[in-house]
Amino acid sequence: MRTFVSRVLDLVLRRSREQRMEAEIKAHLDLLADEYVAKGLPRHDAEFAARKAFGGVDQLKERYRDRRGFPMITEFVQDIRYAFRLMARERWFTTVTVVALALGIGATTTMVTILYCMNVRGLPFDDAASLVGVTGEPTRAQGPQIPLAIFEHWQSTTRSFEGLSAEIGAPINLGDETRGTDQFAGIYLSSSGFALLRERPVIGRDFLPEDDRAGAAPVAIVGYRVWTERYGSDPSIVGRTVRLNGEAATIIGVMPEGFAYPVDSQIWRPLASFPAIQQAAQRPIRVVGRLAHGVSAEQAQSELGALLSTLTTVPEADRTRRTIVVPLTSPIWAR
Amino acid sequence: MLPINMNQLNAEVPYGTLDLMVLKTLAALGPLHGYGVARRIEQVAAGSLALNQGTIYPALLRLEQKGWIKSGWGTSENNRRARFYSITATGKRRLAAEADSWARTVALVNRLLAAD
Repeated sequence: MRTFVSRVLDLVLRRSREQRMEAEIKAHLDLLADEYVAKGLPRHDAEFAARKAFGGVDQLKERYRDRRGFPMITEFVQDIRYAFRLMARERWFTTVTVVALALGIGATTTMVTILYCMNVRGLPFDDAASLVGVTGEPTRAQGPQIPLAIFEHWQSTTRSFEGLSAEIGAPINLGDETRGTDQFAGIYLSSSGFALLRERPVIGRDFLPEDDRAGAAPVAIVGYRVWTERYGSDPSIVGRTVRLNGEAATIIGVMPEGFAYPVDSQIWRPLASFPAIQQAAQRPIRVVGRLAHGVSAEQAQSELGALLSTLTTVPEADRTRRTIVVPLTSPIWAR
Repeated sequence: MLPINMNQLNAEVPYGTLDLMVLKTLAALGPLHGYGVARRIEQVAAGSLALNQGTIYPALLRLEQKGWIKSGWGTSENNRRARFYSITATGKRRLAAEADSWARTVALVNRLLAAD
């Protein structure tokens, strides 16, 4: 106990105790040297002899320090100081390390946020449980996606769904007369796409079936972020003509704050305005649907499969391809 | 017979005995600086102990931490500032106990060595 108290005191009085040790060793060496001088050695030789008789001064100091205070704590503090000094000296290395850590933490946070939203919190849509993704057995040409021709057939014949919507993701450059051009993640989707999610613009109007036809006047709906950040929440944005990928189009609405379907999109356009979509019956698209009341994903899957098998206008391989209907809320790793 | 290095044989201070030597020295001679303690032990050992004089200081610190000795600054006989150590009451009791225990240990080992 006494020893413990003494060591705690040492921790506080580190500097003065260090000085005491220095003084004590010096006194000893002086006394010893005096004795050698008295025996007739020259002063310089006497000091040397004294040091020799005394033994290693530095080892002694080490042993002394080990006995005083708590070496673990003292050494830990020393290590930390040393680390900071090194960091200050190796500026570039430190900078690179900090940047790498920042990027790593950022990327991880983003992934966790996305996975959390999709898998834990559930989708932020009304009655998200009835939302399903419709995919096909993956093929080399289509991946898990569905050719446009098959989607159109399903859309006009199915009874299992309240609605089916097709979508293609592509970046869209937004420019106008007064501001520079910005690129946003964009989605080309069926005119019923927002209605199917039960979302509607906060200002302006939703897409109409007429907007999603070949030759229709080009229109777009933008995200809340685009509206507030690029247009300063100017309500006259509705009806404004902008350039989308270099072509004139009219903004007809702004989606609610936080809406970025499917992940981080900020511009939505009718599927028909996707370049050359009319000539591409085989164009792979993503299909999302809302199940009709009381219909399960399995039932919808067999109905779509049956509808597909009777479609004679598509290649044999497409006709026999397995169709898969999965709730959008089911965790990705369960698919 | 193998040549035995006498120096090596005698050099090591048996563990714990240095404390005992220091306590005894302080009890016998009164307040003394580290140099004096080291000198005294060397004299008594008369060359049978290869002791670096510096070795005395960790022992002094250890004893002081245990409260068996205490120390204060003073002036040596030839006018040098030095730290003087003196034995405490606890240290005296301790010395008696340690000396007793040492005597018993030595007696035991001697009997063992004598018994053929």
